[in-house]
Amino acid sequence: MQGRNAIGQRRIGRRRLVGQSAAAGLAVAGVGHLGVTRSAARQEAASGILQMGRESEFQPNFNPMQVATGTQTQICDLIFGRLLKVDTDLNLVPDLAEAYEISDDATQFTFTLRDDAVWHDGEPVTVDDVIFTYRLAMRPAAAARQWGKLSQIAGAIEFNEGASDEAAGLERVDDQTVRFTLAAPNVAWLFGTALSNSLMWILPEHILGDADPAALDQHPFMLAPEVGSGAYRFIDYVPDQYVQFEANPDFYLGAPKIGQVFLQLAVPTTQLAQLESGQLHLMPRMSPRDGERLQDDPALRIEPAPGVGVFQIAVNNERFPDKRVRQAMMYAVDRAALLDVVELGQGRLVNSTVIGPEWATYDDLDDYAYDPGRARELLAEAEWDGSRTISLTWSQGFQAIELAAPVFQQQLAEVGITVELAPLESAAYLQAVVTEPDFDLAWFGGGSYGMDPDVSSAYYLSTTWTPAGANTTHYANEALDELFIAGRGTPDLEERAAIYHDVALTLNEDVPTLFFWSNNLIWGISANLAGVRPGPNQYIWWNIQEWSLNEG
Amino acid sequence: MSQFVLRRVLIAVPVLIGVTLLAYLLVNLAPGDPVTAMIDPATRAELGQEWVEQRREQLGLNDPPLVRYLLWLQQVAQGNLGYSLVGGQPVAEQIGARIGPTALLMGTALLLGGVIGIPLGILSAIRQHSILDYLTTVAGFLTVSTPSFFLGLSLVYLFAIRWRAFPSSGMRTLGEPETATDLAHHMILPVTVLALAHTPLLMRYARSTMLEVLRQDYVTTARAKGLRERIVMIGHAFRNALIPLITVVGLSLPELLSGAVITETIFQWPGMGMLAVRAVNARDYPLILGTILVTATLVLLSNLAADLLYGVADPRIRVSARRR
Repeated sequence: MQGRNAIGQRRIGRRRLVGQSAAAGLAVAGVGHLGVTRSAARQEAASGILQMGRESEFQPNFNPMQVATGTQTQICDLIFGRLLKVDTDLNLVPDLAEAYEISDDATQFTFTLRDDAVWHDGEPVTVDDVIFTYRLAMRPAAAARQWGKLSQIAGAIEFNEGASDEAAGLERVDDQTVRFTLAAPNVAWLFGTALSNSLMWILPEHILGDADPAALDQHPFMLAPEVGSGAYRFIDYVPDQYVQFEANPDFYLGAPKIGQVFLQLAVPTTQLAQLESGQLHLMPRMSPRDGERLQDDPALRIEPAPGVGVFQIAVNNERFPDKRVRQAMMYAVDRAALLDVVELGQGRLVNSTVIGPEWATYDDLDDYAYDPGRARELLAEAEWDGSRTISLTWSQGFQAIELAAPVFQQQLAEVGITVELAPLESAAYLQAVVTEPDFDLAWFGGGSYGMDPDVSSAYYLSTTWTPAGANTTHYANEALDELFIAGRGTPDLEERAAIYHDVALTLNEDVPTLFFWSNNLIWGISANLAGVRPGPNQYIWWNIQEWSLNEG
Repeated sequence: MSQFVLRRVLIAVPVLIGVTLLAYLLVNLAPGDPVTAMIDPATRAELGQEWVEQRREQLGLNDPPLVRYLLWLQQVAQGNLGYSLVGGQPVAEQIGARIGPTALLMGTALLLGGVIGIPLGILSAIRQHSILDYLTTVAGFLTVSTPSFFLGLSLVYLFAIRWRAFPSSGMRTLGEPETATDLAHHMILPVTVLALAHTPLLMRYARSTMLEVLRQDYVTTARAKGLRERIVMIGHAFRNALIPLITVVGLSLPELLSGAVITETIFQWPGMGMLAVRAVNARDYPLILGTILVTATLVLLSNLAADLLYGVADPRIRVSARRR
């Protein structure tokens, strides 16, 4: 209760702050925070202010169950802990849990919590906080984005529907241990996209204990989450300006060295100007062209990090049932040249969506090297009707696609396939491709395929067709379904690697989607910022406590 | 007079209801909804239909549009603009946080535009065909036909990146105490862009209305009476040229609080323009309605203010209004 009142006051304070500075340009008092200042001696060690750029168009709500943008993901990663997190090399590493164990049948996940984690207000982080967070997220009124993952917990559906007061698969073993039991084996349960992950950001029960799940978005805590357990604590958010954080000297993985972090909210052009003028230390998602231009700037490091997404074209398999036609489209396009033009070579060609991690990469797939002659042969074998016009759609404003589409169109025309370009406004695209499928070819990018080969299952299982699931191509292959299920059933890496080899070969041969490449995420990093090791999917904070600023 | 004002205020109520209802129906007709607007289609597919249903239920989007509009109207009648669907904050608080920065930025720009533009326009009318006239005309056309995004980015490139004279964006230097000087420093570039857009407009209006007035018989009469040129210009000509100018200034008043989207975006100025665009992109119905309500109210108020000012500038209008 104390916390809630305090937060309420702060929000009034912030509003007044903006109003005053705006209306009269008055100097106002520096921004303070209400958290108890502790360990003053250690606090002194942390110094400097890190400025990082982020897209301004993010949803200014910090409810971890409704995180919808990369910016929100990063904010939550900074202020909240999870059981485990992902490092640069896509390994799961300890966070709030210091150890975890997966049962041999891949149904039980047991986490041992560390005993020294505390909330920003000094309360200990307990196993009850973990149980509280997952229970809250499983309620229908919370409408948690993680539901797809959480519904796999044994008894979660009954709990969600109100048939049971407890989810049997969520178990408090003892004061330091929590166990999740799944209804069906799935070793990949721990991997997901940033936005639908089974590793939830853990929330403080002592503050949110009696919050109404249906109105979480409006809860004062979700607008100013001042009590987390992460490396930094939330201080302030000023709309379209910045989000401010302060080092948490009691962070369980070590006190951060940098005193404050500001996420400066701005569109990419503005971020670029800020980076070049020295107002920013860190800019995510730089375009390959800007990366190349700034390559030799001594004040900056340009670091491309391998991505985990795949740039690809979904083919409506119901309209193109003959795989020879889909293969012909692969051969018809000079993907290597296209990668050079569109991404300036910043990425790698892929020949299936099974692209990682390291143990799940295979080099014996057909590489579909540019071969228009082969494409014509395949089309002739498939008796392709040359008078047919097919349409290619995408969500307007996707720059890489807009560069690539005319080339694709021209190269397909050369082998006898007439393509009509039909970009759609994003809502209309969503409708045409996902909610009421009616398309021939749909170009898209992103995803987190490289995190774990099982990620592909969501897109190709015959049980996950749109609109209910994510299989936009309506591709169905029983043998592949079985492989995916088998791949989930064992924690043994070698066994899994063999299974996903077959998955990759199948996708490579069937080309339910046309595979292009996985592009790099390019980071612009100030030369005086040390310790940053960009990871996949913008998980950049994973080692933030080790970062340091060296400003002379 | 007070009856006139009262009548105008009462008419405003149905106008506002009409405007918001129309806007509401239009945004509901557009494809997309707040649940799926802000996520990319791949993510939407991953999240699945079940989540979409739960979220729609949570946000109360399953009622028919008209019912939702009436619920909104009922809230507004009680002085509550509701909550943002994507952000969760009260709409009134969000708008309140933006009005200050917008008023500061646009107010300064409009004021500068008026202070520079109107005297320049009058001068170039008085000295028609002089070098000053030609210069201001050419400069005016140049600035008015330069798109603000181009001008804005050019200024950023030159003054923020090349010469590092001004910050490229924002309202304050982060990590340093807020001061008026710092704020002013941050305002210079965006205000320049906006003022350059307004100055030529006011200048050209001032020039043409002044030219028209100068050809009127009463100016000739005043001169014939032997009045000094300065008195003729200020007392007779300028006063009459004011009326069309009031209209132009009145029409640009709503801008004062509705903001300038492009300039705000380039300079990352947290104003109403950005908020409105954000609301539309996110299909955040309560926020869209809130911004429209505020903007529409301003349009009505500034029209009323302009009408009242006509009376101050020209007694003839006051008299005829009373007769009616």
